Amino acid sequence: MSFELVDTTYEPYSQDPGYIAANEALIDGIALEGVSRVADLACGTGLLSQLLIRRAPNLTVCAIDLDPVQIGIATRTFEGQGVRVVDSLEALRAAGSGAVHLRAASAMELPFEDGEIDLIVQGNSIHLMPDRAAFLREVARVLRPGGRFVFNSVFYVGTFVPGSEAVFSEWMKEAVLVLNRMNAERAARGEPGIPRKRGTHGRAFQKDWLSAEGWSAALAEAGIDTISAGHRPVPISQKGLQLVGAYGGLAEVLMSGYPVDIASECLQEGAVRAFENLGITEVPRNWLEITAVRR
Amino acid sequence: MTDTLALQTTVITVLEDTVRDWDMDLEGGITATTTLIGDLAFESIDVVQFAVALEQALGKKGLPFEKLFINDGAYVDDVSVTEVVEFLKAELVAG
Repeated sequence: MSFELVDTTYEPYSQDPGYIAANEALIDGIALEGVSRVADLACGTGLLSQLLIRRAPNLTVCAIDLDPVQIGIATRTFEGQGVRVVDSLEALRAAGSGAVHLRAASAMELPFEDGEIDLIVQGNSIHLMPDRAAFLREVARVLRPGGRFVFNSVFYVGTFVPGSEAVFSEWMKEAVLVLNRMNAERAARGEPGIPRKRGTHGRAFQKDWLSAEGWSAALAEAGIDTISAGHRPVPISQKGLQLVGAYGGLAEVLMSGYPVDIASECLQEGAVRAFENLGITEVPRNWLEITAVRR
Repeated sequence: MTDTLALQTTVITVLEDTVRDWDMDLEGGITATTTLIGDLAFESIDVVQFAVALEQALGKKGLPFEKLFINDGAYVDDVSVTEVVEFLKAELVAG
């Protein structure tokens, strides 16, 4: 089996049916009455913004992501869908309705005026914010009183459906066995092993995940009150887990220090082997969904 | 293999192999109280490679390491050699 042409952007996984369904459910549950100005934080390839625009074409949406590659993909997608894309925040404000602005920017330093935003959405990335309290204060700063903050995450205390942990454990072990096989093949050819640079990421287990209750407490501290918090079990197919593994941003964390293309290849093949070993066709994983309102 | 001392020797040997090239200065070497994260600075992939190496050393595939590393839906803070040995003993006895 070969995965030599690995696309390590977020785009392949963002097109997975299970991933789309989880985010459609999040967006469909948002009350959009009184909402005009929207911010989509750490937007990746812009799926949440696309789903919002599809529901309410008159919204103005500013979608930001640290990675200009993701912003480029999102921009091309919106243009291909005939959505009006403007090149500055000023132009978005002037447009008033029915427009999108995408820019490479940090969610830790939002490019908005105080109280300018009616709705902030964030898809599966809040766990990546480097300073949680500072980030939530920034969210509170740009939301108007009564404005909503809606996010989901698959990295939190409670994400593992009881009994499913073994599948993710098997996945990682099989990925390591693929890596070991690659190294053995290199050794047989008289080549050096796959290089690894330790220390590129943090130590194991120190993920600082929060539970739903923990997120509600952190939000309250920033002046944002939780309206609803729930868990949505979403099945991940073998193909879906392969796509997760293909994403370089995750591969470089899960197999820290190894070349990301090799890590991605190992995780993809590991997913196939794990599903085969366990005789399963899908594995469930809980998504946390929280809707909160600015005081 | 369910003898505690033999298991501990296996675990320590696997750990010594794992960290051999890491340029670590471990006073007194790896012992029963050594921890994977605090003392050996394991990253996530090190934990998995350690688990795979242990399964190979013990000739036992499919050990449920998630029971050792995940508790109440969240990852544990750290794991000591003794805790690894106790886990392995329980799993190997159970069959």
